[in-house]
Amino acid sequence: MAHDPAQQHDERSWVELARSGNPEAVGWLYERYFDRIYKYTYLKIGDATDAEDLTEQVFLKMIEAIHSFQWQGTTFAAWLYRIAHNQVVDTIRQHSRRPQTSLEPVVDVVPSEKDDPYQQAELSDSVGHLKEALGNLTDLQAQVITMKFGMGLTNAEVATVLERTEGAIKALQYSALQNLSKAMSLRGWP
Amino acid sequence: MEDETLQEALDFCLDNPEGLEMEELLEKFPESRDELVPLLALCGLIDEAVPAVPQERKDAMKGRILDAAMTRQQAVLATVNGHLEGALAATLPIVTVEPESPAQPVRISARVRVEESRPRRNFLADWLRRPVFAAAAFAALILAFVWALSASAMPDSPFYRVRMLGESIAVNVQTSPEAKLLKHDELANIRLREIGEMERQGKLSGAQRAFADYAEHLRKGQEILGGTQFTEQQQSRLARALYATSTTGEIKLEGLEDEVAGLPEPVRESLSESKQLQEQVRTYSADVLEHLGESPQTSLPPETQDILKQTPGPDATALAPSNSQDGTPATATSSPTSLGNAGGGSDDEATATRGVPGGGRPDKTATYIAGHSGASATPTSTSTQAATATATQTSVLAASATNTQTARATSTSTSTAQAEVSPLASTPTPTNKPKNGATVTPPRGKPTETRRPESTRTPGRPATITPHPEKTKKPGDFTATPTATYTYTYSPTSTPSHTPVPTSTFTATASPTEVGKDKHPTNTPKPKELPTDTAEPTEEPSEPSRPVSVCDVDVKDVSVGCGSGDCVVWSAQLRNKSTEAIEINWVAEMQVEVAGAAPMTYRDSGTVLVRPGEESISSKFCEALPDLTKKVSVTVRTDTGSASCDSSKHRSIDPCATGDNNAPKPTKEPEPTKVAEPTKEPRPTKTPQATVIVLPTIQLLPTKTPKSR
Repeated sequence: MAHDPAQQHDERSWVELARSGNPEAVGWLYERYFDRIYKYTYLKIGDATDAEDLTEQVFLKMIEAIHSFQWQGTTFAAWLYRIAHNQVVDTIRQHSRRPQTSLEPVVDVVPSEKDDPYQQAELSDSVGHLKEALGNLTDLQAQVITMKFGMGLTNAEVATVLERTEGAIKALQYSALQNLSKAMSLRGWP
Repeated sequence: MEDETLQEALDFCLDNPEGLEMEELLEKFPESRDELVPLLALCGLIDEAVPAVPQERKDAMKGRILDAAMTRQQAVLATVNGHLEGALAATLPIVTVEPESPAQPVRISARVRVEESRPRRNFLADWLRRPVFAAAAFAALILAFVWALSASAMPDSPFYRVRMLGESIAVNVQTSPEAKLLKHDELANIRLREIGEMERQGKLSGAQRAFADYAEHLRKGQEILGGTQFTEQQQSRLARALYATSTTGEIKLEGLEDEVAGLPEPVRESLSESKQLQEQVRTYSADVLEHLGESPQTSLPPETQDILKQTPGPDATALAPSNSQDGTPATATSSPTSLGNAGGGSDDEATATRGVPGGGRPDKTATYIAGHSGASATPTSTSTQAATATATQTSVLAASATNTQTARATSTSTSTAQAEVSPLASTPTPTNKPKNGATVTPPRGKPTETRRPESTRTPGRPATITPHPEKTKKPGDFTATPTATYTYTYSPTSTPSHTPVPTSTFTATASPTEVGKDKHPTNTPKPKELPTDTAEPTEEPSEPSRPVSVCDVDVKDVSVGCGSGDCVVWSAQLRNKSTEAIEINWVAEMQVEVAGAAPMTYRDSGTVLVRPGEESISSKFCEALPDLTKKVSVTVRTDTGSASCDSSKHRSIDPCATGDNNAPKPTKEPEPTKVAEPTKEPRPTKTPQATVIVLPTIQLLPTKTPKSR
């Protein structure tokens, strides 16, 4: 989504509008980034309610600070990720708990009507295993996974944030997924 | 290598730029299929692991965020409005954003902060893009162009008004009256040059405005000179400038008579009016210079002086004051061949109290103003006092010509002698006798003061300068208001008919006395040579001694009274707060306030040895004070020199009437102990001095040495 040049151009325009607090522009950005920020915070915090609160705070911070946003050397998504990351760090510091360890079983949060109970139970087990597996990743690997699969950042954006090359990010992503896969295999997944 | 292939394959599958199904993606990387399947499945699991937020909660959250956005928007708009209303020139740029998408309704936003790190915008270009500012810039360019054209515009040019506007601004931006006057003078000279240029070009018909402006600048210069209190030096410089310009103008304008004769009436009228005004200013400035003791002619350029010597001047009329009860003007006229007042005022002043410099006595003195040719004096006062004046006026410009004019006026009374100087008056037939036969005399029994007061001079009596009464006044004509006054300084140069006696020069007693219980030797000039007074210990032995200084002596009190004759006697109590005798210099100044004239100051000084406690000194000023003396004050101070701790006291009294002899009694019986030996032979004083302990060095400030009575 963020890779589409046309959308990027639109995003630039909306961001400029949002600088003055234009509600329409802010609403557009909210719709565009809510899920990604929420997914990122959830992967980091592991609690749906806290993730929602954090997501709201991230957008409020965005409104306050968007006038200072500069396009040079970054994208709006990467800038927004930094806000989210700072909020997560603050929350973790306040709660003094590690995010990965509190990852809740997805079945408790999102019951799917079309899935049968067996599938739900199976998914719940898998998420449980995933939670444990994520806790065993290195910090850098975990960051790449959350940034890629949570915020939906591109390799280039992740590389910019982490001040690495895109190749390094690909390698980190691959090694992280391999470690997760191994860990999940040990737990009987898939 | 294999890992890199896998990384690329995995990244491609995750990125899925072509939007393919999972099977289609895997078919692209058959060799890596086995490794990619679990990884991609894991990615799916991660994606599914995050629970979705219920829509209602998501909407509620969005509502709160949009509320915050609106609040922010209102704050920004308020800030922008404030900036726009406060100052359009605010440095904060307004950024216009126009999204390309037509579906976006809001197109303009404002930003109130600019970060330093952002690339600098071309603000000038931004401002100029705005129509209002572009129009303003264009107007400024046009204005600058017109201004440039007007810089050399001659009086017949359409741009001349713009030039006048610029000159008016140039005058008004001057901060001091002196600078303004000099600017007017400069502009008057420029007008003269323009007139000359137009004459050469044969365009005198268009010089009407130049004539008027020339005279107007002179008139304004005269107003400033007459309405501002300048120092003598400034007065001299400014009067010289005005005199030179007006005299140069007179020569130039006189030379235009023939050429202007054939021109339209308005031009001739303008020239005539200008000549009258410039003559008025020239007369006035000459009068000022004369009373400063300077010859006006020396202020002229040599070439102008040469021209004047070869050119017969206009007839002049000196009108003696009208002193009759009905105000009938008394006219004394003469026909000097000179152009100016020619510095002949000294003779006038010798016998007549001029209204201007000696104007402090309007109630007793018939006013006489005839200090220069072409001047008419028409006092509006009535006088009950007969006065006779004989004025002799000598022309300097016409070196060989000496004109004697006699003004006679009968003066009867009064309090306010208001003189009108009308130099425009011109009587073709000289008449040496006033209409009413009045004579103007110096005030009875009043000598002309020969001393030049040291203090700053103040304006003399009010003198109104008006155009000739017969002249039809027009807007722009010079009409001095009654408050327009000469600012002559009081520096009479006339020969005194009654010279005051400088009896105040030395009043130290020469009769040292030993009074009281102290019987110390009196001839000891230095404190250290004084015997120690052991009878009156004033200091505790245990008290640490401190250095004694002249600052320990102050003036405690001053008494002033009238002595015999014209003497004003004074005494002062000096207090020595130290434990040792201190030799101190003292200065006594008598200031005489005279109605309508600058105060006169006389000074006396000496040295006295002040013993611990209090000492008294006294002396007197014997001066013939003017009849219009309002108040006499005596200030006695210690002169501590570099110690800068002078102490002073002063006392004022009304002028002493003849025969008054209320010499001040010392407020406290002094304890005269010793009298220093005078350094010079003292004169016997008229009044006995209670106690004087002085080493007097009398100093009379007026520069002219008064004659002894």
